[in-house]
This record gives sequence, C-alpha cells and structure tokens, in this order.
Amino acid sequence: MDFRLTDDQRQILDALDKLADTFDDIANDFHGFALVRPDLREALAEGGFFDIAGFEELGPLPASMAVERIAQLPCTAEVALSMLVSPLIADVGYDPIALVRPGQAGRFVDSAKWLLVVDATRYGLIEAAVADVTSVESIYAYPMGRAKDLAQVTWLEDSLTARIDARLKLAIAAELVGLMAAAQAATIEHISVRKQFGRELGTFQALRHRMAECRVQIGGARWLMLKAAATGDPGDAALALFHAQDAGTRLCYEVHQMMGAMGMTLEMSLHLWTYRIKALLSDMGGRGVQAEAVLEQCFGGVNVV
Amino acid sequence: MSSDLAPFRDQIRTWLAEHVDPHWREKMFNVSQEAFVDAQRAWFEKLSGAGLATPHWPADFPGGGRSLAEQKIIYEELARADAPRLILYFLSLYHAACTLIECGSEAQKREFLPAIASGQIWCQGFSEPNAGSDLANIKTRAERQGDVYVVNGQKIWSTMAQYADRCLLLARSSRESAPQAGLTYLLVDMKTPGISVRPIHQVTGDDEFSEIFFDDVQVPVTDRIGEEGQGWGIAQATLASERGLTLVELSLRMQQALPRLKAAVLARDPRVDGPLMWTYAEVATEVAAAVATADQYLQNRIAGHEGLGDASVVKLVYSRTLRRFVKLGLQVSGLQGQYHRGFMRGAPQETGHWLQDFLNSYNWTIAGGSDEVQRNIIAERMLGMPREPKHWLLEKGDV
Repeated sequence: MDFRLTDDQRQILDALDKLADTFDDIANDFHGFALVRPDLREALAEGGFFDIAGFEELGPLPASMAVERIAQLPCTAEVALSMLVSPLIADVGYDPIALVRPGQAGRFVDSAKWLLVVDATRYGLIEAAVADVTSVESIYAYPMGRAKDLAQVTWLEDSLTARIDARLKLAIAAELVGLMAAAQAATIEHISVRKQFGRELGTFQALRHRMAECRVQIGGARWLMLKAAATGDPGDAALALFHAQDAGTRLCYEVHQMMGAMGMTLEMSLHLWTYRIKALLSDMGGRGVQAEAVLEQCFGGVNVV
Repeated sequence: MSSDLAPFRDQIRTWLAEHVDPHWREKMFNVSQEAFVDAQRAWFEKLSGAGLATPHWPADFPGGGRSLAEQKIIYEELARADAPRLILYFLSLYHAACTLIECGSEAQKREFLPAIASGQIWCQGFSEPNAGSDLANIKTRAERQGDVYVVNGQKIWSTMAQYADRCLLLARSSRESAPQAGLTYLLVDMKTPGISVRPIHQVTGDDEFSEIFFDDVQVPVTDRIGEEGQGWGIAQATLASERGLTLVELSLRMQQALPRLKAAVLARDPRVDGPLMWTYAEVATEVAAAVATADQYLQNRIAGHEGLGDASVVKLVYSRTLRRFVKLGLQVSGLQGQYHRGFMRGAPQETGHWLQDFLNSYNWTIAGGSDEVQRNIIAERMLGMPREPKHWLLEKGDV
C-alpha cells in the first residue's frame, strides 16, 4: 500500500511539525503526573489542523500522522478524538470531546465539552455540562474524569457505530505509535550517554538488541495504523490497535528497565509518555477485545477455516 | 499504480492458475533429493519460459527489465497461487546474478547471466567453520600464482552445493591489511580439480547444505570479480540481494498459510474464547505487521528512498514472526505432531508438518545475517545508538 503523501498533505504536516516544536519542552519545576497544555488545542484549532480528516484532499491518513506527531510531545491535550472521530459526528465541531463508559473514569472527561458515550452496541452524545462531570485523581499522565449522569444522552444512528468504532481504534493506535516512539527516543538518548562499567549503556548488546526489537514492533504498529487510516476498514483498525497495544505492553517494561531507578521517579520525564501508554493499553476493551475483533473481522471468525 | 498494472497482475494470475500443479505439495512429500531436483528443473523451465524467473534483472538480459512494482506483483501472485519456490535456483537467480549485475565486468555478465537464465546452478562459499556471523574472519586462502589463484580451505552452509556448477567464493588473498581489506571474490567452476563437496545431514532429515573443501584449486584470475582485496564490499552486494523481494514473498506466503495454522489450533481447542485462539490472533496480527513492514520496505524502494537499517527490520520481523507461527503450530499439534514423519521439499516455511517447520524456522534466524547482526544494524544505523567499543574487538584480535 502506498502511503506517500501529496504535496498538500506534506505541507500541512510540515506546518504541524513546526507548531509541535513550540510545545516540546518541560518546565524545570514540573514534577506532576500529567502535563496538560490547553493552549496546544487552541493553537491546533487556530491553525485549522482539526479539519485535516474532514477535507477530501487530506483525509484520515495525514490526520492520523498528525495525531502520531502530537502524541510525541511531553504535554497532552485532547487532540486524537477531535482530529479523527469528531469529523464523523454532526454538531461537535472543534470542541474537546471525550470517550466515556457509564460508571468508569475516562481521559479528558472533566475538561471536554462533549462526551461520546459508549455502551455495548452503540455510541451516544451528551454535553458534558449536563452530565455532572467530576475530576478523578489518577497517576495516568492524562487528566481523568467521570460523568455521573448520562440520562440525557442522545444515541447516534446505528449506521455510524462501525465507523466511529474504527476511527476510535485508529485514533488510539495513532496516539500509541507516537507515544511509543517518543518514549523510545528518550530512552535511547539516556542510554547513549549514561555510562556504567566504563561504557555507554547503549553499547551493551543486552540493551541495544532489545531496543532494536522495540523499534521493529513500533514500526509494525505504525504501518498497520497507516493502513487502517488509508482503508477505513474496521478489521484493519482492530489489527492496528491490537498490535499497538501489544507493542506498548512490552515497550513500557523495556524503557523503564533501561532508565533504571530514575525512570521510576517524577524527576525524569519518561512517565509522561509511558503513563499515557499504560492508560491506552486498556482502552477499547484492551488486548482481549481486540483479539476477538481481529479474529472476527480479519481471519474469518472462529467457525470458518 | 494499481490500476495501470491491473492487466499485468491478471496476466500473471492467469498463467499461474494454468501452470501451478495443485498437487505439487503431496508430490514433494518425502521424495528423494533427486526427484526434488527434477521437479525444480521442470518448474524453473516453465517460469523461465514465461519470463517470470528473472524479472529483477536489467532489460538487456534474458527475462529482465521488469520494474520493481511489477516484480512485487509477480511475487505477490506466486505467493497467492501457492506456487513451489525455486529453492535450487535461489542462489543463482539472486545472489550470483545480483552480484554480477552490480559488480561484474561486461565479459562476466555476458558469460554467466545467460547461463544462469538457462538453468546454471550456483552456490555460495562464504561461511566457514570458524567464521559465520563474523564473516571478516574467514581463513580460506586464495594465493596469486601468475594467471591463477590457488585456493585452499573449507566452506560450510553452502545451499545446494552438491548440485552447483559454479560457486561465489570469498577468500583471503592477504593477511597483512585489515581483515575486510584482505578478501578477494572469485567465481569458481565447481568441476575444477581439487574441489570436494560433502552434504550435511540436517535435523530436519534434509541435506540442502554442504561443506566444500578446496585443495590446491586453481581459479583463473579472469574469474575474479572486482579487484583483488575488494571482496568484502562485493560480498555486501551479494548478501543484500536476499533482503528485499524474497522477504515480501515469504511474508505473503506466511499470511497465505494462516488457515493451516488456524485449523491446527481449532483441532486442538475449538473454544471461541480459548487461550489458543487468542494466541492465534496475536500470531495472525504479527503476520499482518510483517506483511505490512515488508510491503512498505518495497514501496519505499520503489519510491527511491530506502532508509538505513530498513532491510534489517524486514529480515528481523520475518524471522521472528515465522518462529512464533511455527511454534504455535508445533504446540497445538502435540506429541503426534512431533514424531518425525518426513518432510516436504520445495515448500515455503509453513508446510503444516510442524516439527519440520519449527526446525526449519531457525534457518531464518541465521541465514543472510543472523538476527543478532540485524539487531546491531538497527541499533546503530536506524536508532543512532553508539557502536560497541573497539577495544573489545581488539581484545578478540579481529582488527
């Protein structure tokens, strides 16, 4: 499959890259769990980047690359769903939107204007202002919240369910790919300069080979994610998220192990990526649900051989 | 691209539907090496006659001139049709031909490429008992004496060497310079006096590899490729030839074989939500990632921008995924699947004879640059990690 970008797609991603560079810093005195930057959303909206997926000339492929790029930043803001899911839903516009399951905490629920409610078979929409939203303390590097009253939810047409489902999986896979790449880059930077036993840690094959394996997994997850963006196929989206969640599980262990004890502190920034990855590993039901979806949608279900 | 080439794909698909024997797998189960060689020769002649054996060669050589996009289609369709693989000719068509095309003199190209296109069989004489992954450490000598090199030494892991007409030989012509700089590359006629070949019996029951012994073998200087001492660089061209199209084809063949694995899993445990089906989903997803990775590698090459380490990623992801694939097959087949029941020749790596497949899968973690070498390449060239310190190599006496 050919993922080469058109000139228009390349130009907008170059512009996004420049914008992202201006948010690529961490204040010296920041030692929190989530580095939230609402101004990132404002800058993206001002630049028109939330329109990427909706424009016929651009579409979900560059939009997923944009989500991937923004996820590499140490800071976070509600971007992935606005870029990839909101264009499917009327009335939401550029406003922040969060996925919420009844009774459960969710990312950005306390700061979103819209809540995308999911139950077993359908999606619905409700304004956060009428859902009695509260913040939830969490060590995930996302702001988390809970909605107490979803009685006024408006269920969306059934015809949208599969498309929203696929876009959600794509959005999370794209975010995971960006987060994994950034976490690995931070780790490689560390072990390339940190010396023990008179040598940089990164010269030991016991470590470099594991980093190479992680790179292979991230690469596979990225190609599957881009394929899902290009085809819009629900099976491709399930494959992409399953593989990304699989890769993230391994990567989190490896990068924290290689950062040593400092990697387990808030003084190092690694958690800003890995604690977002950990939150996403269980999203959309986690690997178990993705495994079933992959079997059903890509490999003919269990009853067809 | 796809719309322009759709008629070409149809043409290949139609030809394969007419010419691939649907029963070739059964016919190649537990057959003698000689019967296998006969079948390979017959299949080569068919493919060659249809212009499908050498599409990666330049246009001025037999069967050549296909674009990379067209080559990709040919290999996709070969995988889709579950056609036999040209194992006997693999070294000739890729390693030998690509080396000659990239580094050979015009006279060598004119002599050897038509011969290869007509079915000449080549083998590779690189590895030695004490120089496998550490290829620069080879000891086989090529001593210049007038118009010939006199070769003495031993090579190992030479695929199909017992049937080879020619050998791509890497030998040491100088001990005085750095190890890589003292190597020379020769194109050796396997009928030259002083050459003996001993097939190696593998744990699979096959004997596709051989040792080659060189005892005062005289090789004309005109059969040297490149200049004396340039062997290392030329050997890189040889090794690079197997890390592109072949892996695209093999990844696709692995994907084609998923129903075979799924049937084995369900035969063991038909539960929809059983742990084996989850494992199958993981393996199937890894196969999809391997196919996507190989496909993207080739797309990038078609577009003219291959990145540092990309080929190593493709090789590593394939070998790792294949290992998981066949391991699951072996696991679910239980003790019954682990009896030695013979093997299938000429098939891809996933024949459904799980013990053979499992044992064969380890070929791919070693051949064409071991997984460990690929990981080093990825770490250094792709991830920019620091190199291993040179004093380690100095302690080993390798530089």
